[in-house]
Amino acid sequence: MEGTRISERLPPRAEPTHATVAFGDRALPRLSAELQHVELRVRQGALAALGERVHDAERAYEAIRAGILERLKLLLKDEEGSVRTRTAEVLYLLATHSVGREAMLRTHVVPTLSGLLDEPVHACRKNIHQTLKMLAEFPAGVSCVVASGLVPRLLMRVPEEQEDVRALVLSTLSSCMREDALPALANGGVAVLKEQLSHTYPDIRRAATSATLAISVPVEGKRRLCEEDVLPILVGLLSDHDLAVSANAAGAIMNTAVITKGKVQALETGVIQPLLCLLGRGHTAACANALRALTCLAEVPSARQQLLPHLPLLESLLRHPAPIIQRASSTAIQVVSWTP
Amino acid sequence: MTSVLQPQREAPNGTYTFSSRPRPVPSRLKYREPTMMQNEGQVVYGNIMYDRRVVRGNTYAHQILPVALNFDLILILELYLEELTDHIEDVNVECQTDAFLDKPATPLFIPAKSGKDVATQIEEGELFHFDMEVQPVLEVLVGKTIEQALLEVMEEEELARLRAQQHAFQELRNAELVEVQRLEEQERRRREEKNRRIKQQRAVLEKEKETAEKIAARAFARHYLADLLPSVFTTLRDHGYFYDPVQRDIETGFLPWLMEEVSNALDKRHAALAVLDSEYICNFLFHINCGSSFR
Repeated sequence: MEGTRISERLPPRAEPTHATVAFGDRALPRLSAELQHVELRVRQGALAALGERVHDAERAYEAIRAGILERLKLLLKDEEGSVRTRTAEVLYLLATHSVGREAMLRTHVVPTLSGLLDEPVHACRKNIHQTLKMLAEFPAGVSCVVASGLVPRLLMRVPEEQEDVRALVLSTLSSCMREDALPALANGGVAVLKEQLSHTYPDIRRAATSATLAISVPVEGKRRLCEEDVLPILVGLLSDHDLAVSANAAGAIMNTAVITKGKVQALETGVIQPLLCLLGRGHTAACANALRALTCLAEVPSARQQLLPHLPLLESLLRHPAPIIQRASSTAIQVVSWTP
Repeated sequence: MTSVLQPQREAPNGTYTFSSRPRPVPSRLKYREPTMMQNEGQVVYGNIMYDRRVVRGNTYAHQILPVALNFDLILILELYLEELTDHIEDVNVECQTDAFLDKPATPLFIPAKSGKDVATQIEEGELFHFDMEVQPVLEVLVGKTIEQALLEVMEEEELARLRAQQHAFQELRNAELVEVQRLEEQERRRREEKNRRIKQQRAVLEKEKETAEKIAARAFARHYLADLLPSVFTTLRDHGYFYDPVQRDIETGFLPWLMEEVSNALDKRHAALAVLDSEYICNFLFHINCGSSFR
């Protein structure tokens, strides 16, 4: 850069692997034509450039209007692994915008994605699961995922996947189970979740406990949880370092304690002391779940006897700023001090 | 060495003749070969490069020429004796430059000045004002970067907000669900308890009623059956269930037998009478009587 003459060469490109993007209206048609090019490098460059563009919601909307999703669906079946990985990444970026999510549901991307669950390339599978998780986080998406019958297949994939992907699959499953837990129950969901509850990774534990919470909502789920002796593990998780894990575990216990068998089993494993500790730990969800669990357990006379000395603690929670805790603590006090 | 004298030939046009024709110097072979001995007449030409008689080296040096002593002379030549060697003495002359002395720096060649001096200089603020000019460029650069960064942060933020909202909603939903389920369960338990108690109560009532009925029935039965016994006995006696065994025995055993016998006897007599009464017998007896009367 020493001379005063302007160089004839083009300036150095920031990303040599990205395709050059044409100006204005020409950009997307050209990119979309390049996506179908025979040469591998052209396709990869076009995908990289597309991925850069799609971070912006407006550009994403333009891309969707230009019909990029059909091309991407075709590219998901490409032979080259890096192309599939990039395509899944672009789909994930599109799914972070709500226009993208709606468009993906309209163009039925979910069945195509579900065909790739057995993908050999790890990065591609990770991106696919991220996309599915993002899709499962909103109501229409969840119904679509559940309707495509993905829940049994995802359940089967849980033990086989590596840790980071496993957490994503479990999150997807917990969202699906919140919508409808019966398919998961029918396919042995409780057994699968029981193994994952005691994993070392906190992400996996968090996702597994929230899935257990969701699965314990229907009566069948509660019964299964009692039968398969999941309650001791949950009671152990109440004193976990990660507060989200403890909150979810308390929620699962609270749901299971609604049926009599659950109450009895929980009391046998000595659940009241950890729940009382959880009340003092300051996480709103954990506190609320613990209060509700105590409420359910207090239907049993022996539990009521154990809890009567702790009434002052419950009364102090009446003055908590969060209204949810106030309500929970008032019901708890009501139930504990009930006499026949 | 035999030498062949060239016959003197007369020059054809008398320009030039050799008194002694130039001829190559014949050389003597180092190793005489047997074949060579036969043809002695053949002259062997040698290479003067390898001829020992040719003087090598510097010809300006001292030469040692072989002296041919043809007559007896006593010469004292020891003083002049020199050693014959192949080595040719020569004189060495050397020349060596002195070591380099430090050369002083060459004075700068400044050509003589010619022409007019003209100078030009761009002062500080004349071409452009850097601070002002750089602003739009900087704005664009920084603006684009920040815009991109903001976009990305906003994406994350939006997603985080959505998740937080969902989380709060889920909490509420969980709370409501659990409340509903708990109350449902409570209701169910209470209802079942109530039902059980009602059933129990009903069962108790049933039992009481049954017991009362039983007692009533027993009282009535006792009363009814109070004079059962005498009436039974009377009835039985009336029907003849209490009997004297001997009398009975006589009545059932003996008397029928007696009657039977009597009847048998009577039958026999009857049969006899009948026989007697019968025509045949009458005739027979008549005949007998007649017969007997004839005798």
